[in-house]
Amino acid sequence: MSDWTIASLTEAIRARTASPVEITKACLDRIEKLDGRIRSFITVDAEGALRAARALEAEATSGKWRGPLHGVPLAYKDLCHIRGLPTSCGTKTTEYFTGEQECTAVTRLARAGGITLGKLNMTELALGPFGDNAHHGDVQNPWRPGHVSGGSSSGSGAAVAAGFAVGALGSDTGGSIRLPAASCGVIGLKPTYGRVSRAGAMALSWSLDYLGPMTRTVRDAALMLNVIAGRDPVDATSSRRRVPDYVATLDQPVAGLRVGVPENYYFDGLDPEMESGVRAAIRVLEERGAKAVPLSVPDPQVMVGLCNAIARPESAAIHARLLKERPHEIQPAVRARLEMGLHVPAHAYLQALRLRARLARQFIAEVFANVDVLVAPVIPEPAPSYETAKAGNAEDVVRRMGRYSRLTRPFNGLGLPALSIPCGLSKAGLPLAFQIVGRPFDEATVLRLGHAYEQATPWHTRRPPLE
Amino acid sequence: MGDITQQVAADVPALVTLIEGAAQELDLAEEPANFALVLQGGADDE
Repeated sequence: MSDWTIASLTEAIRARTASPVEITKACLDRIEKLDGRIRSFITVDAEGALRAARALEAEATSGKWRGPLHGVPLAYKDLCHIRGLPTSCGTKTTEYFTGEQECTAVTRLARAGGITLGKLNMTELALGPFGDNAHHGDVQNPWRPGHVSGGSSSGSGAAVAAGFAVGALGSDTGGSIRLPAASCGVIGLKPTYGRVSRAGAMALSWSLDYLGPMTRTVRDAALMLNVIAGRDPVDATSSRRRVPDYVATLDQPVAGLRVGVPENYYFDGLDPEMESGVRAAIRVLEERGAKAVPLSVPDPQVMVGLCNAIARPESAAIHARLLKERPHEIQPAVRARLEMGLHVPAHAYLQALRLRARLARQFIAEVFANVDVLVAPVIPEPAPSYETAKAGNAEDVVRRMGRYSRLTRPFNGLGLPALSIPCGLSKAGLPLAFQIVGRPFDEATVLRLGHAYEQATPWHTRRPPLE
Repeated sequence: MGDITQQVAADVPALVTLIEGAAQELDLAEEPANFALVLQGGADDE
């Protein structure tokens, strides 16, 4: 079970050497056997999953084929609203997000044949980079229990790494797809802002939220993106831009691609093993014909500040009722970050939005005049222990949270597509990772380069020692 | 853990000062919604 990818599984289903029902049962058995200690799921819908699997198996048998997700067991971060299942958003309230609007991305995946296993654990209200959750349990890193899974799409990263689901959806406002992907050694794609509809998913920040796939391989991420990308009339921020076939261009050569390597900010204070892993990854890309270009990027710290001024007031507005009526139910660190938004003046928020546009224009014009993609680390160190992550006083915790997400947050502000890919294991057996960042709506180049790296390295075949 | 709310809120004044300083350089034509235009190259395409 733990070796299936979306691509290999659908090929086997189509060839009738694998059964959607048997695969779904295997996933559910594995979840039952192992997830008690990982805590990646909040809701498992065994009955619904098997019902869907039986229907999809009958369709396949009769020759009806929905496409490359037909019969594939998937799971979704518990802020994706699905009719018939509760959506807690990681809060104490089982049905925190209610309403008629189902998550468009999930609907598209189901229509394409994906089977919904259930809803995945997450940091409360998607506000936190480690994966801790006092209401639903801290998600354990499958590579080393006791260590953070990364957040806030903590369950998504852990479930894919552990082989509970063959793919998952996460969301990313400051790094919440890429941080758990990097921490758990799986692929995580934050697309361009507006590439994937956010309708039917709990918002944390309208201006900075992204939904995206978390998978075993780059090809699987491309397969999922093909399905979920594209205009959604229910999401005013979703782009009308044509969706290319991201799979069709994966195997195109990468020779000649200019890969920018930032000389400022991104490698500052990096754990030596992480830096070594990322630089080794860059050498692999060079061996495949890409050209590494050292360069200085506009100071990312400015964009991080703007993101705070934008995200915090938006989050406070979105969750105003919870803050007003039941603040005591919110974990202290989450509540503090929400309440910060109540103190940012409106004019500062609006100026931050204006400045964001200016900085993004300048960044794109300056940086992508010289390179086709950027490569950078995702996390500053391999996933720490929960004991370390939570240690110390308030100042220590806040500083640590900021540090763990400092390498991902700038690209949320810039709106650019960013792909986290595993690039090794530390001496302690924890994943190392790097991210590839592209021009707006150039997921195709980002995925192509990531695929080339993956094909030249073994990391996507490694599995955590769960059994 | 101590008062984490105070710790987080303490960052706001410095943040506002940073933004107000940078905003002095903005042109009248620079609107919040321009970000979408920046990403999409100035025009939506079907």
